[in-house]
Amino acid sequence: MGEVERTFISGLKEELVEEKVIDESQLDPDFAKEIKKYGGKDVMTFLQCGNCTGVCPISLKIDYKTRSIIKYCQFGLKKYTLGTRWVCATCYRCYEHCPADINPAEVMIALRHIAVREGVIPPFIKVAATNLVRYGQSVKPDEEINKIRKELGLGDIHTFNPDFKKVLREISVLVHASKYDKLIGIEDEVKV
Amino acid sequence: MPFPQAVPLKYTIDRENCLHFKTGKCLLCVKECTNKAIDHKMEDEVLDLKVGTIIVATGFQTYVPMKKGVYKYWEYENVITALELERLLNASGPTGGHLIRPSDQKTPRRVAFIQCVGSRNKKIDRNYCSRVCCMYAIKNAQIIKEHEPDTEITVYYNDIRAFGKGFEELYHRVREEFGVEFFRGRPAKLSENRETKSIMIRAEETLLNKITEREFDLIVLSVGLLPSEGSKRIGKTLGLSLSSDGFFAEAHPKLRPVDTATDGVFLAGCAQSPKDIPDSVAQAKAAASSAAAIMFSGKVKIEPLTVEVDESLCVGCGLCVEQCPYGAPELIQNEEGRTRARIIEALCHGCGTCAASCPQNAITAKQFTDEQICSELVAALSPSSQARTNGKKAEEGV
Amino acid sequence: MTPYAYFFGCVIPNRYPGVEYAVRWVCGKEGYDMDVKDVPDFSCCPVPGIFYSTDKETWLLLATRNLVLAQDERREILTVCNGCLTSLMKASEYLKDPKSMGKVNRVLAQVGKKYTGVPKKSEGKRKVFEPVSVRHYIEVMANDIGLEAIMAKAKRPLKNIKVAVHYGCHYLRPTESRTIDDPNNPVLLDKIVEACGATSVDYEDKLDCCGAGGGVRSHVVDLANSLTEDKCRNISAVGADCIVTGCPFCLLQFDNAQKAFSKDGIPVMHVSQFQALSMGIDPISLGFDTHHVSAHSLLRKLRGA
Ligand SMILES: Cc1cc2nc3c(=O)[nH]c(=O)nc-3n(C[C@H](O)[C@H](O)[C@H](O)COP(=O)(O)OP(=O)(O)OC[C@H]3O[C@@H](n4cnc5c(N)ncnc54)[C@H](O)[C@@H]3O)c2cc1C
Ligand code: SF4
Repeated sequence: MGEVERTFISGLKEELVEEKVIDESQLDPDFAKEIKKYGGKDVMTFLQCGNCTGVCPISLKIDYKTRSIIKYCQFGLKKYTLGTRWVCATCYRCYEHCPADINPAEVMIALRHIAVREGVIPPFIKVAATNLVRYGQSVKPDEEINKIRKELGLGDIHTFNPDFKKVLREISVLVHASKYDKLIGIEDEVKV
Repeated sequence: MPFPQAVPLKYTIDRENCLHFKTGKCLLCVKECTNKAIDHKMEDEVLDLKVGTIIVATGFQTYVPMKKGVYKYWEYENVITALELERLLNASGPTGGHLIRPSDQKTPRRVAFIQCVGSRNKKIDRNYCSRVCCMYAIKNAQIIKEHEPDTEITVYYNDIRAFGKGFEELYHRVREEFGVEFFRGRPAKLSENRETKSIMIRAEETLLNKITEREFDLIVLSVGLLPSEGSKRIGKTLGLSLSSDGFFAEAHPKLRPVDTATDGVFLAGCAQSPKDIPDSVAQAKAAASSAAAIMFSGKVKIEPLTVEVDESLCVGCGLCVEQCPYGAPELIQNEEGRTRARIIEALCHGCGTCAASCPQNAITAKQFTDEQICSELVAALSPSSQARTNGKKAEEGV
Repeated sequence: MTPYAYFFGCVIPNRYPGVEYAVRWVCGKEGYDMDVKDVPDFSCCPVPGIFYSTDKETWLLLATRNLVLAQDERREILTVCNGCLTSLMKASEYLKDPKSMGKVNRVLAQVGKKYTGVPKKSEGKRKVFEPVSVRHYIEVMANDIGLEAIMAKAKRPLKNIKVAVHYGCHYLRPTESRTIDDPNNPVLLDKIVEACGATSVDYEDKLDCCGAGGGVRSHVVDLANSLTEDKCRNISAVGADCIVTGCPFCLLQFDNAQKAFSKDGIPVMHVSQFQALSMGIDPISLGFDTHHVSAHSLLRKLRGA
């Protein structure tokens, strides 16, 4: 196959199979409302000026365009927002520059809420949440570091303190009360 | 002559440079002027005028870009406002209409316009569209192209608002004939090349869904229009209210667009809202004829529905004076030397605010006395009237 | 002087004990002798990137638990981390709404805690409460201690040291809930660095993100690192000797990411470590050996100067 043909023809078959026209069945009319429920501002007032994409450090790097994601939200195209919503660094630059005074970073956070409830939970969330329940910290305490702490004359890491058991119990109760353990699927089921 | 389009088109003395004001001598011009029109002794005067009507046409001021904002107006030499560009392009301006850029006085090859600077931005509490900047940017792009056809011009816009007569056609002409490029996206970042002083703009081309970085020699900020500085003070003096955007509010947005809540005071031009010259002129003419209509008739017709003060009840507390939106009540000394309220009937609109707020019940609205209103209520709520309305409803199938 | 409660968070005690040492040293007898206390029951703030992102309800519960501890001690929270600042400050903001306060308190009752805010002087019979105040180390140093005091204590001014300061996003934004510093033109960290005798150098995209926040570091390291690479490129372009930041998570990111794209790297430290250096601490106790990027180049320059 010549260079031109390869460029233009190969892959065309797959492309033909893919859905290119978005019809109404793909739209979720209540998507904007759902976003609002989880603390996002009204995406319907979005101006589409593109300022958010321009200031977004992530948009410069990968195929993630803040503006398009908000546009999908306006439209109710839930499935298009699935893959990219976890890469927002929540640096809030978009909020600071937005002339429509909506907060795209908060919208991303609302999208994460929705994703989690649909079972899309990246592993790091599970790890951190489990750490919190086990150690009261989102970072796993390190014996090595604890040794260095002792050398410096600092006390033990909280978690190694026997009195900290009480705190861990309190955290378990709270996490259980808000059903977060079920939602995230924290390893070793929280016992209350 | 201050500038060729000055109104009135008359010569003035430039006090800072006039030899007479510097040295006390010269006065050659006085000798030369056959009409004896020059008087160096004239001073500013404050005149008290008694007038029947007032037209407020105090215009606008342009938005001043933020000190540490994204557009770096205060940091980069080659970022200028549209007003500065207007001067540069003006045949009687400092460069005789020749476009140069501030850093090296050279003619810029690539020019970018940034639209909606200080307009349509909720963050800085400017929610409105300034209406003229799209068109003046297009106009200036055309002028630049006519002077220097090789200039590349890009307009960073959000929406182009070409709403007036012939405006859309002009918009098309600069695209088609002059090849001005329109880029839909709001610039996110400007950064200067230290050596060439050219400026890179980063923005998302929202129609392409791509982030772009492009370099320009000159950046023009299409600054928006703000209410003029003294608006609040004038509003207070004349009893005019301001709309939420800070411009003067008209009496009715559709039916009384040049009138204000205060009779005899009219609005024209950008004092009322951002607008271009044709609209300003149209409104000015409307305001002038509205004013003339009152002035020439010599009389003012008012509604008979005013209020009156019962002097025996009034204690002169002055609450009504504060409350009235039209400034109708005033406090006077009556024959016995007591302070009492009096209504200036020509100003009263009979709205009843004072009647409702008077703690002494001393004010009654003519045709709307308490007795009248009470008996209306009694009649409306009486069984017979209820039965009638019910019957009517039943007929209508409600 | 205002009483504070240390809030170190997770990253400092578990990864950078040297920072904890420096903070205690600067705030303690050797330094400004502030009224700061440890509250051993503090837990994770909890991390905004995980909890605020996935369930605001849980986030608020856990954050309020920490606030209650400070409230009962009648102390202002002194955070050393931008993440903790965001999390706790936002929670304090949320709790201003009596409805969410009531909702949180109903659950907190299960662990015997109640958030009311700190009682201030009472007006007649009615008690007036103020939200628990959450402060950042940088701001406390610059405003409460004051730059002159910092300058006076800098026994060994760090002359000739060129510093690239990195504020970290959550120190500045969102301005919805904070106005510590001008988000477009922050100055406090620069001023502290200068008060220590060093020069703060300006560099391109100074206010850009380090790349770690919002779970990006945990989720897609390469993406986070590529943002850090951009920053480091701009920082080396102006020849800075070290990076000083107010946030341990940014510190962690700069520290870890640099090995992905450069051999030596620019030393990174927390502002407290930098301050302690200027006050003449023995660098051994600053725990630089737990950092991935060696601070040797900087320390050598210091000794030489
Ligand atoms: C950069 C730029 C380019 C433009 N280009 C065009 C164009 O090409 N075509 C077009 O149609 N429109 C253009 N416009 C819009 C045009 O300038 C306005 O429509 C027009 O000036 C409005 O006229 P005005 O009389 O209402 O207000 P102004 O022109 O602002 O006049 C108000 C006057 O009132 C005076 N004043 C203010 N306060 C007081 C006070 N308290 N006491 C006494 N005097 C006071 C001011 O000094 C001023 O002289 C442009 C605007 C800008 C900013
Ligand atoms: S006229 Fe155009 S540039 Fe001006 S505010 Fe309106 S849309 Fe923006």
